[in-house]
Amino acid sequence: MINKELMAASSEPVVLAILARGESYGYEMIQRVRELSSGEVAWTDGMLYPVLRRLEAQGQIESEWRTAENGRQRRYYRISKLGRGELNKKREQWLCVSSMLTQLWEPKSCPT
Amino acid sequence: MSDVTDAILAWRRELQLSGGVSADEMAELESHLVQEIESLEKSGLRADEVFVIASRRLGHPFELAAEYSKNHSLMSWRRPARLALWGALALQAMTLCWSAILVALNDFDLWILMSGPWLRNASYIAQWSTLGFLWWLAENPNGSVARSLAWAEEGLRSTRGALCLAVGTIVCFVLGTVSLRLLLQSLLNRQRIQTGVPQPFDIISLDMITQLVLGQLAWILPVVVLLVILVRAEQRPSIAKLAMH
Repeated sequence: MINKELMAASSEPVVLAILARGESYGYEMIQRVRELSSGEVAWTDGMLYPVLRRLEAQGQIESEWRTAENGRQRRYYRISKLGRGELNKKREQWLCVSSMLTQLWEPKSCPT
Repeated sequence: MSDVTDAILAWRRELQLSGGVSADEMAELESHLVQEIESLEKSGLRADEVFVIASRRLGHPFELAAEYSKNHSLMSWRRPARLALWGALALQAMTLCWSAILVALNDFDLWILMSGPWLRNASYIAQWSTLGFLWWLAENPNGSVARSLAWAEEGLRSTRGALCLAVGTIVCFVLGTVSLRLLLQSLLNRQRIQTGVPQPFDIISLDMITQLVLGQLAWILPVVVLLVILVRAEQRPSIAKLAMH
């Protein structure tokens, strides 16, 4: 299970990365996260929405209420230019951390 | 379905009581809850079971409200403070522009008129109303004002950007004040030559210009410095740091 702190830290790049592939809405994004993490995320669904609000207030994403195919009102999000720039920065940081840990955890070769 | 509808209404009330969640945010959470319920109903569960699972997945109203309020407290004073500082800069720039227009129009009478209490107050009201309007635009997160501010603040996060704003503002205000006063002086001289009547503010000495410039800088500089500090404080802790803890 991924702990809450790590999930909270990764929530912004995750949201930005999902939206970089095309516009989406809260429910769909959560399904996507659940699918990608194989249910390993210790996070209640509702925690995503405050993150969306924060990103929107920072101008990294934009939202719009629209009527969905089923006739219900739904809030759609898309990434802004600022958000794309932020995503690139975050991507570099995460890749750096990931590469560092991968190197540290490299299994030692057996002495023969 | 009416049981579920009642349960949703009760859930809404609880969320409302928890406070800190706006109507818009509540509508979005509710839309999520309804979609989750519909998707669970297809799996053949009973209506009451469906609601329990869906609302649990979404999170307890109190937890949700607490999460939103963290967001609000993060922005509660910093965002208005930053907007106020941007506003102060904009207001000063507006005053400078307005005076420049009057001087450029060569309309000394109007300038004197504007310096009178009534019109001066009216111009203040106009300026503050414009500021209020800009503030309102900035509060709309998708608006161009909010986006320009976000862009400007993004620039301020780098040292070069912060220095550019500081130096740029100082240069603009010093040049603006000096050129405005010099223009005004030449205008006054011309009026005096034409009419032979000494005008008020007839002699604008170098000392007076220096005083004016210093007076402007005395409060423009702290505004710029505060703005830079606030914007940079908003920077989130880097993920690398967080992961290494």
